[in-house]
Amino acid sequence: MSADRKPLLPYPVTLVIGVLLMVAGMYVSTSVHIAALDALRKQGILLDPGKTVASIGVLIILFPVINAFYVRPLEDAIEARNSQLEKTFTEAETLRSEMTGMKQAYEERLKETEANARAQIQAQIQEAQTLRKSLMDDAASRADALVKKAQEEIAAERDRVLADLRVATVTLALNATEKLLGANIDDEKNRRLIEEFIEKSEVPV
Amino acid sequence: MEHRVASRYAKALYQAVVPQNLLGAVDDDLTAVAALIANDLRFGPFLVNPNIAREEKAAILDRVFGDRITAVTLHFLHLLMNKRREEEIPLIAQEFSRLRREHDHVLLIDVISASELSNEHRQAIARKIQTATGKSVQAQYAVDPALIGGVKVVLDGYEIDGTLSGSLGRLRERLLLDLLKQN
Repeated sequence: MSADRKPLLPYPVTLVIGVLLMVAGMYVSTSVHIAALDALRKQGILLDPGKTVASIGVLIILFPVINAFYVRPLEDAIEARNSQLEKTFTEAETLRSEMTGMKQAYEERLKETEANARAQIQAQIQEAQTLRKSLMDDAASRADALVKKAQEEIAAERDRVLADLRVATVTLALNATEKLLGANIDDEKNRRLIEEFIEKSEVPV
Repeated sequence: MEHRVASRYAKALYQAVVPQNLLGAVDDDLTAVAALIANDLRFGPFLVNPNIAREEKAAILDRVFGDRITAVTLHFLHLLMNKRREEEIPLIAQEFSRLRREHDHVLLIDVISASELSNEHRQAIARKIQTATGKSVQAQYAVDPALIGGVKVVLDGYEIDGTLSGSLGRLRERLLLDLLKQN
């Protein structure tokens, strides 16, 4: 950046001009008497144009040096600093733009995800409700089947117990009859039974 | 299987002795031998013992039965021993008796009564069976108090039941059948 700045005059020219001004100023200061300055001197104003010119000449001589060793590096540093800051600002702006884009993308994705989540939740709720209904129906049908089976088993058990009871009743009655017959049969009755058998029984041929 | 073997031996013996008119004698012999096997605790096991030589068994048979049974029966017993069929003797005797009865037109009946039958009743029962079947009757009598009263006759696989226990049993079966039908 500093290389782009060109001095108005080449340095040798300014050096010559400076030396000339310095010599001329010293000469005026030491050799030329200016009456107008006396009045100023009387008034307390110590003005010496020769020295002033010589100082300007020295300044003209030293200015490129100061410019080369101090001003330009300073300008370069400031320029570099500015460039760095601009670069940083640019990067920050870029990052901000990217972040804004990412934020928008994230927001869109978040919205999309929320929508998907809501849809999935609704679907799961519907599926759960369907499953619940199915399970309830299944449980109800199983319960009905169990109740029906239990009723059938109870009826079968009741019938079996009743049948056992009837068989036991028949057995008891017949056993009692058998004992009564055994106790009451005598020779006469037995004889009549035998004779009845002989008379009425049929012999297979 | 054993019954078929016994039946074959009995039939062969039957066919051999009928022409000789020895049916009754051989039947009595076999019945006596079977009774001895059934009642004598030593003779039966001796006869079927495989560790005793056939010659020794034959000698004992000759000594025990030589002068008591017919030669045909003794020869038949020797044949059974040679064929290792000693165990079949009781079954052969039964089958032979059946063949004899068949030959003589005799019907074997079992008469079981709750108490001892009088001779009058025995004869009446035999006469009734004889009249119905046209065969002579050979009756075996037994007493079973569990019959309570009456009499039961078993013949040719049939049973004519005139006992009180039989009547009760039939009543029991009928009642149980009715109960089963109700269920």
